[in-house]
Amino acid sequence: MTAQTVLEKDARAAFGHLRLDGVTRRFGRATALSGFDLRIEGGEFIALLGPSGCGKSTALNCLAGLLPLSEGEIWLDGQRVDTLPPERRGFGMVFQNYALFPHLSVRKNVAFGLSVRRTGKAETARRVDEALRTVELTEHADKLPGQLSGGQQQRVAIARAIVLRPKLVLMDEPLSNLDAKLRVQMRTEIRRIHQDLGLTTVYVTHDQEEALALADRVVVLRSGEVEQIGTPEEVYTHPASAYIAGFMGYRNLLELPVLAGGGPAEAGGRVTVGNEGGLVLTGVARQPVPGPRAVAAVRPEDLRVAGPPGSTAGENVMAVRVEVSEFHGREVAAEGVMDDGRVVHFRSPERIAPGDRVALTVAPERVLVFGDGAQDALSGNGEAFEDPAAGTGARDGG
Amino acid sequence: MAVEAPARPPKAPVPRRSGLRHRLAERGVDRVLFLLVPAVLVVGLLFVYPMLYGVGLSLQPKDGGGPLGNYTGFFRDSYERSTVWKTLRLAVPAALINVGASVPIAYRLRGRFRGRRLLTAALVLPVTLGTVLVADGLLRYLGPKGWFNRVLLDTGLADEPVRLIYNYWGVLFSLIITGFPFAFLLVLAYMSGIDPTLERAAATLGAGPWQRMRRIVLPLLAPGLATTFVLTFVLAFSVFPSATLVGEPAGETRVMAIAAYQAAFEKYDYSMASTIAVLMGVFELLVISVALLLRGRLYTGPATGGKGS
Repeated sequence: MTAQTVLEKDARAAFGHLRLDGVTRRFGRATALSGFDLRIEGGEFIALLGPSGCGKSTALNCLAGLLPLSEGEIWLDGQRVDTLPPERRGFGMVFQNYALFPHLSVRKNVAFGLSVRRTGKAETARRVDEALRTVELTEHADKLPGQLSGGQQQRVAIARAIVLRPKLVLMDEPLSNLDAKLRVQMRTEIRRIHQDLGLTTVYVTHDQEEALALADRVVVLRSGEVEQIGTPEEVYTHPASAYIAGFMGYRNLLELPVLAGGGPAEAGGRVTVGNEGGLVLTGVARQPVPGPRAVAAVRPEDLRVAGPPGSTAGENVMAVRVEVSEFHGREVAAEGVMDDGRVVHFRSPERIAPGDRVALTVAPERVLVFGDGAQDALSGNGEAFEDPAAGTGARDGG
Repeated sequence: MAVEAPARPPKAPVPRRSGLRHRLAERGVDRVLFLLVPAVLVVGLLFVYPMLYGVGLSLQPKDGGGPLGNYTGFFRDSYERSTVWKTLRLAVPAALINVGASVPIAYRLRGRFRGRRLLTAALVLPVTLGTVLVADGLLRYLGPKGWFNRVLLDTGLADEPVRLIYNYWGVLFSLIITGFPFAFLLVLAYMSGIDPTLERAAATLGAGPWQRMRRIVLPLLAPGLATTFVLTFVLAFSVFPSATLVGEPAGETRVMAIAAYQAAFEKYDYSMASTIAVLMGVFELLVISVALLLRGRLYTGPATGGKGS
């Protein structure tokens, strides 16, 4: 990594912080992004996470200067940048389809930004070599982009952006066109380059696994508004809403009437939801639960198979009939149906077969209760996110 | 299959026959080829035969002098020979102007915006008008008493009417008006084939509008421009009506097509007319080969920057 020392110094010195101030973008009557506030510290890795249409790509394009703002301001330290055209912002961008110049060799693609800036020949050659070495593409330097594989093209796109020592690197779903194995590899690669070069990165993705793995802070967007900002741990363990819980692995979202607790005084305390004589769940609410109904969120892996129905009684017990069971190595992922028709996802270390009747229990501190937006969390969950459970499920192993 | 055949003598004839059909099919020879018959007949009867007949005719001079008599005659006669230069002098600039003017307009119109269809339709309208109508309009508009000259005279930009019809300029204008829509439509199609994210990528790398045009759009467009040039050049090269109507058909716009027409229908020398027609083809092919040779030196792959394209 000795070759990177020059890049490193420049990037680290680039800026203190970037501030987005009420950034709003409308398309006709539709608001794609409304009042987006964010302060990004130099050296941070920020992930903008959300389903398609949530405004994350709009936010990135506004930052890059490819879309003018309808309202709001963007400040880089003391300088206002939202009025500058993209070519004068000095931000690097990696596009979803890489946007490599098809008529230029890999070397010339990477050198493009330098030659636009009329950098000297020797300096250009040195920095291009350095960038190509960083992404391990030295031996492909003279090929055209069309002769490279998807993963290699992706690395060219990254090299082309970082060779300019940009103040800020913007990445628009850069891994979405790669196959699953390469995606995980390149993810690590992106994080490594970010750390080694001391870059500041804003990364757009719809994949919560990617966002959690890469980012220092995750910004969850929904319908153009910020839903939650926090470290990956905060977002994963304390999702701010049932909507976020839904794609952070809380695959079971059960809408139920509130039975006890949930007043403003008891915020952060226990809430009991359920039907008299039927399913009753006690869980933790971090915000007051004002309404008569609430959503209880439970991760499949927090449900424990207690035995046949009737073996346990009382609260936090669900009796289900197994509908589907999938072999996942050490455990079985199963889908069961309760008597009232609600579907429950759970795991079992023991083999269970469709048709079996089992009782499931869950510890109260593992149940999250959300009072707000009960309805739309349920209807919104899963429709736009690409298989939310699969992503978080894979995380559990590691 | 051929290896297997001797091992099973009684069944040998069957695999051999299907083997032949199989081998033919691998080379693309199967019954679907019969679909080509109508097209081959039409091309043969309406194009190949008349063309060969014309070439044959051109080699049988009316006045004798060997098979190439007409060709040597054409180049020895300075009046006839000059038609080559007169035609090229009209067709090459007209094609270049049409392609050149299409680029900035197509560049502006490449994205989606309100009224794009209307504007495109307006630009393409001259195609439907026909040369004669355009020539008639030009005669009125650019004539000594037309609007153009009246404006020039009234604003004092000229002391006497500028002569723009019945000469080289009239024909050139006419070729531009009728040729531009073709060039524009082609260039617009090529322009739309360039992935717009390439320009956005160039912008984030620091390239201003002019740099993006010069380094990204033009190189990717160039092969398409060469093709467009060839097509509009061919259209302009065979100019006949406007050279007669708004030009000076006895003088500076006596193009090759007029010479061929006069040979055939004024001198009734079909052999000479065929010779001139063949020479028209030869000169067109010369210019086209130059354009295509240059095109071959350019990047001609896909104009998109992504995976799977």
